[in-house]
Amino acid sequence: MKMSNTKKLMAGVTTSVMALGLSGCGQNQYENTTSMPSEPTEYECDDWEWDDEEGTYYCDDRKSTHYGGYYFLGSMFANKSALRKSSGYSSFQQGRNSVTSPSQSKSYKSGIGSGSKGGYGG
Amino acid sequence: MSNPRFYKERQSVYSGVPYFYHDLDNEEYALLDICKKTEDEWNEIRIAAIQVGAIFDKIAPLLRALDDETLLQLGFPYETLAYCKIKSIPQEYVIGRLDFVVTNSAIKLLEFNADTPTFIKETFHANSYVCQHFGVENPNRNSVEILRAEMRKAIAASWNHLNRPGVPKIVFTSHVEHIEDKWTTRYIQEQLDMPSEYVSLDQLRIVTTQFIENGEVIEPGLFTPSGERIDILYRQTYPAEHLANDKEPTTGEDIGQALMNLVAQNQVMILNPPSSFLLQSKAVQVLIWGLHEEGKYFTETEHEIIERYFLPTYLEPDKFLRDNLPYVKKPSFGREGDTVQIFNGSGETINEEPMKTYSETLPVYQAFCPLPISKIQTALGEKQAHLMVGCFLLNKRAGAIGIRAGGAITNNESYFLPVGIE
Repeated sequence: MKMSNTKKLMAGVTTSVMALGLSGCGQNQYENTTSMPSEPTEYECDDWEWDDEEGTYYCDDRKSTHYGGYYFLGSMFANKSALRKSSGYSSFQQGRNSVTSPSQSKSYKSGIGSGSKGGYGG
Repeated sequence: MSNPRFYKERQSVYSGVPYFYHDLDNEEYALLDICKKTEDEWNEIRIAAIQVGAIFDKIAPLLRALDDETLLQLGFPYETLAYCKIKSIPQEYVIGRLDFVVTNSAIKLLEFNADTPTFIKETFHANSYVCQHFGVENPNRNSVEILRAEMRKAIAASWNHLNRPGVPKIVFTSHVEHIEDKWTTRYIQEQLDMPSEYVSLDQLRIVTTQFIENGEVIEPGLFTPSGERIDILYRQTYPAEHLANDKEPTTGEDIGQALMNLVAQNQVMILNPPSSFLLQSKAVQVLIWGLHEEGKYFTETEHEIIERYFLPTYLEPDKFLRDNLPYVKKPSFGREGDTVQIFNGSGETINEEPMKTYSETLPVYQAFCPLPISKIQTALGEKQAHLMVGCFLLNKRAGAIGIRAGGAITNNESYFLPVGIE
């Protein structure tokens, strides 16, 4: 009797489950990951705490000059309020991303989005 | 026939929502009506979303461990196999949406739109205006803050992975001529409280090989039209399987695949991340249900969650035909009801979507769970409509809820029905 596509699929999956030792009870290489990026290293602070509401770290080290400050993408903000007002900080734009030239060169290729005309988000 | 007073009232409410599309293609889309449930009932849906989301989170590492042959059996296009296995940030997805059938007796998952869910501006933003109009509390009142926090976390994690100095160049993109895509994208861009730029898809530029320009070495990467290197690309509305087909207009080069390669080489980060595409295939539900039937991989509690919320799903209809049960045939990568068919237990079509865009993609067969029918108020009067409940998952946290009201198969012509607390 011909094996169904579902059975064939499950046979392949079961092999992977067995080969990798993945099981409902065990840990695997991805299950230890969390949603937090690693702690900042650019600023002196011995106690970084994660603020889940803000999605950032803040310095909880009373001895640090950054105590109470919020870290976000390479910068420190004096407090939560300063962090939240940070949207206008265009001065942070750095040379690495500066305009190099008008991109007329053939080395700059286009065509992204040509696969459909939009409206295909589910 | 449209009631002039109702028409004016609806215009008045929705014209207050900035950059919204309450009519689409000159047809009514957003209803001036509201579906009310108690806070507990809305929370039950959110609990279901979180628990179902945990099952998808658990299956993702297994999917990445599968060989290419098995991934092809799950319907993934060959061109996307390397892309979908990329895991560079902890989040499997940032903004995903689970679509449920919600009845008095059960909540059942139809599908998980993990890669490019829309319906965001409607539920996170416009819903509050309609609640205010009807004088009811908004069940989505806390969702925007969660959205902001999770977007920020995902940007931080992406930037952390790139390990570059300075601050990231963040670009949001979509088809500029598609109003729903564009305003959805601009809305989520507004939620990110840091500098970013909107660049339409057709204006993005790709460098695939290193070259020298004005004495400067330009490394491969993704660029804005003015030549700024992009670090993080947010493309909420453009499906990865469409990206795989993108061609360079003059040379015919596979430019979408070139972008996927840049992502694989850490030249640019993309959000939703590649793992969201891995969870997008409806065939993933075949795998989840198969492991559930075999009693494998999941804990006892997880098996209970699957039994409670998932529908039996297979790669062929045999079991439904054997048991004389109605079922739905849907494409593994379909969107908006396109190419969906409903059959009775004898295998005869009882309903089908006229659009057949995805007839070439792998179909899955799912037990038919009918959407509940309710009365809705449209500009043309009262109608009976099938209601499907969408609940957003923001990196494992439940977000806004909204309802699509339409035919037995929810499609592009279905209405947005706002929600409120009873």
